[in-house]
Amino acid sequence: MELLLAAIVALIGSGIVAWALQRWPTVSTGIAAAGALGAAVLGIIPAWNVLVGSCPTLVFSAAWPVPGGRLALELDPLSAWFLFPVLIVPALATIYAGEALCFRQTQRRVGAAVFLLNLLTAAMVVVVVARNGLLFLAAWEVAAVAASLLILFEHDRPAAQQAGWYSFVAAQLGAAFLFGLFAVLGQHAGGSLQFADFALITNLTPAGANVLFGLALIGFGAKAGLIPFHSWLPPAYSAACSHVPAVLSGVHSKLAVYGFLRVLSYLGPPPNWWGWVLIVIGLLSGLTGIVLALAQSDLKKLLAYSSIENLGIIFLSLGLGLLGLAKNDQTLLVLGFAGALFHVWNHSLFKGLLFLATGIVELQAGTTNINLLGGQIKRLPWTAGAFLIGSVSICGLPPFNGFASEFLIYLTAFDEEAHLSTSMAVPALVALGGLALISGLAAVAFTKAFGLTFLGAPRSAQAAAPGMRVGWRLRLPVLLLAIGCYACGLLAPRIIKILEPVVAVCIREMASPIARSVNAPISQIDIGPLQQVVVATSGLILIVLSLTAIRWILLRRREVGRTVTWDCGYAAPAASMQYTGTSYVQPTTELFGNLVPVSQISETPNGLFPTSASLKSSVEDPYLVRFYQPVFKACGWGLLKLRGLQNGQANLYVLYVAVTLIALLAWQLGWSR
Amino acid sequence: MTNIILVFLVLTNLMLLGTGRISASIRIVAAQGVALSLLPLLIHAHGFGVRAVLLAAATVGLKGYLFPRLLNKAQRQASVRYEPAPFLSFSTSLMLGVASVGVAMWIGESLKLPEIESPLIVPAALSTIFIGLLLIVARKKALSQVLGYVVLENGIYVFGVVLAQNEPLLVELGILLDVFVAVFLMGIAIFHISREFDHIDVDQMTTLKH
Repeated sequence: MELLLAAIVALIGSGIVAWALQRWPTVSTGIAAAGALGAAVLGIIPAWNVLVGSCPTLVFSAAWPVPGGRLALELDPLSAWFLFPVLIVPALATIYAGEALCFRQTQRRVGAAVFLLNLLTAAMVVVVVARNGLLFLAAWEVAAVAASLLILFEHDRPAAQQAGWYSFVAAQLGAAFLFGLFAVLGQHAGGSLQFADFALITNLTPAGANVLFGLALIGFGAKAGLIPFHSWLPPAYSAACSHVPAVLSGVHSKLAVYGFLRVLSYLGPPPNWWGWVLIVIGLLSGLTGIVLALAQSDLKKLLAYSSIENLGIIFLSLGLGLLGLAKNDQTLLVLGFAGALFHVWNHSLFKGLLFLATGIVELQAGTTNINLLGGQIKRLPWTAGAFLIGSVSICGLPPFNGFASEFLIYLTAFDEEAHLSTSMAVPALVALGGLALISGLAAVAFTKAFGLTFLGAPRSAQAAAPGMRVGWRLRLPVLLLAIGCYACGLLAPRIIKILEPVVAVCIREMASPIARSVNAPISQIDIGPLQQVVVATSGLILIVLSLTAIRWILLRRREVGRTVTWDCGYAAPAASMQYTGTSYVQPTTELFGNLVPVSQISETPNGLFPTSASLKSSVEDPYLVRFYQPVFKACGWGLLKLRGLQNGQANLYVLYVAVTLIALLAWQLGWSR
Repeated sequence: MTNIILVFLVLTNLMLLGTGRISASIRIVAAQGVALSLLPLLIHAHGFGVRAVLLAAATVGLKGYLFPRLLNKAQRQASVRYEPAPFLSFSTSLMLGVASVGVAMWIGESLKLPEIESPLIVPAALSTIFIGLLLIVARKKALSQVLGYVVLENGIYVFGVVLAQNEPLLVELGILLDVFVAVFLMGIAIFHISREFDHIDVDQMTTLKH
């Protein structure tokens, strides 16, 4: 545990030093990156020990002079599992940030940016190991505020201002539900906010448990960006420099999964419908997320919506697991939870990778608008390769890690369908079909993202202009994450074995008799041909790579003719002849027109010799436009009326105070009678 | 004797509500302060402790001498002689003042406090607090509001002297010091405001809000 505390200290300490030295950007970012890396190493050791080693849990406890608060930390397998992405991805992002921030040659305060990044990481570490409600909420808030400030970093851009504001409001609204949640839990636990006392709660009625479940779902769902609580997320992820969304999407949103699992374990045996609610919300988020993703023309927004989709998949898998728990089916239970937890790791790896790779493209071309990009593979071959690996992973294709976790989820759904009676198998079938659809659409979205960004010819002058040299600090994190994606795919069976104690923690505290009887079931569950598929596809890729190598060797001594892309017989090929992002996905978006309202403004060509024609299409987030904006506008209008109270008359202010005091006095006296 | 002082306190309160002349108000508040300074000597039946004497002396010095001087000086500098048109007319404020005495009586009934020497103490203290607040709310000139603040403090002082007989001397002196600093600062502020804006009417200060 001391190592973990040292890691937290290293994160905050290096952040403060980096801030103090911000006059020298290279030194400052270097110190922050060193601190984050050191913290990652320090923190991974106890996490690894807990996960696979001998000691089951590590505990730390100290007094905290806040009523109800206590500095209670514990590292159990569930925390350790989440500690890996929480430490690794931000450390890589900090290395990346050093160069990215200096690359932009901003006059802004680089030191503040890396300090906030390290503070965010430290707060996330505390969230994961906190065992006291107040400590959890405090760390949760620190992380949320740090995230909002990071989004606001380029605060002179209106988009960043709006995004920072949105994310701040969303985080506070979500946190309000969490405060309610912990307050009610604390009340049931006899006034204690210690998680250990939450676990002993026995006086929870089913209705009370349902209320708590609802609070947790909304509070954590807002952080995860589950639909319909997602509207803040795409602008937030697209406004900041790429290492920020890499951390936010890759890790910060996963804290919601962690918190949800942790709280769920205190709510007693879950009824059936909780599982169904999670399945429905997961499917809705997955489907709407990916459809909105493929309609986006901004690469970062596309990734942001795909993040919503992936969180949807995670909650879908949790729902299947809960259904298994309710149905007393151990296989389902374990597979569902294992799939969700494994996808947490995998998503943090490939989404981090994709955001960082996108950031390199942005640094080079100055834009993330797909309709202005193209042909970047020639300038950024390494980045393109890494982005391709990330795309393949996120589509759930072998041999990468996305395949492994989605395979587990498919397996859960199949098992559910096979084990249960016909009527009960319906949700499983729906989940199966929905997941397949989501994966297919993800493939469309990411062929768009990769193809239009990296292949073809540049669609604008800035995308074609020669860029600056990409240094190792940008390249290394991306490559490491790509390697991580492959390693997690290849080692999937072993990693799933590591998950055994983690799943056991999740379900042990659910206090249902069957869950208690589960012990070490994962090793007995047949995870099917996962390993074979991964090895076989790796072999295929190896063959293709070696053929490429042979071709390269054969052609080395000869002259190879090269010409421009898309030269096929045209006299004057132009970049604008290529597919645009919108036209590429138009058939699909048309199919899902209900989910994606595409607004088009067109000027059709007129007459025999038309002089002008134009087409402009844009996609708005339907939830934002139809629900959140009207609601918040109405709230703002209503609250504006209250400004009359603040009229500048000091006399009236004193009158308010006096009236309040007298009313309180009278009320208290009347009360005591 | 305590009762006489308390009745005097309530009567002076009502007088304050009824008068618009500021120099008269300052004199009334000063008289109130001097009367109140006798309270610690009377209530501590165990004899004149050093503590009680010290407190009484400090109160007389501050409320009977220093405050009137400061306020008179501020009044001269700002050349404000009376309250021409307060937010609430004098008769209305008098009515409200009487009503507040009634409310204070009712509250004094309901508040069951141990070891009180006189049943008038809690109502007198509370009504003084209420009337102080009323003065702050109802009057327009900043000087009257300072007077209201001093009256409010007098109410708190009565409460403190009576109820917290064993509260340390340091606390009471601290409160006195607080009030002294506040009045001192307000006197200076009023001078500056009147020099800057040619008046000390608080209702015209709303433009400072923005």
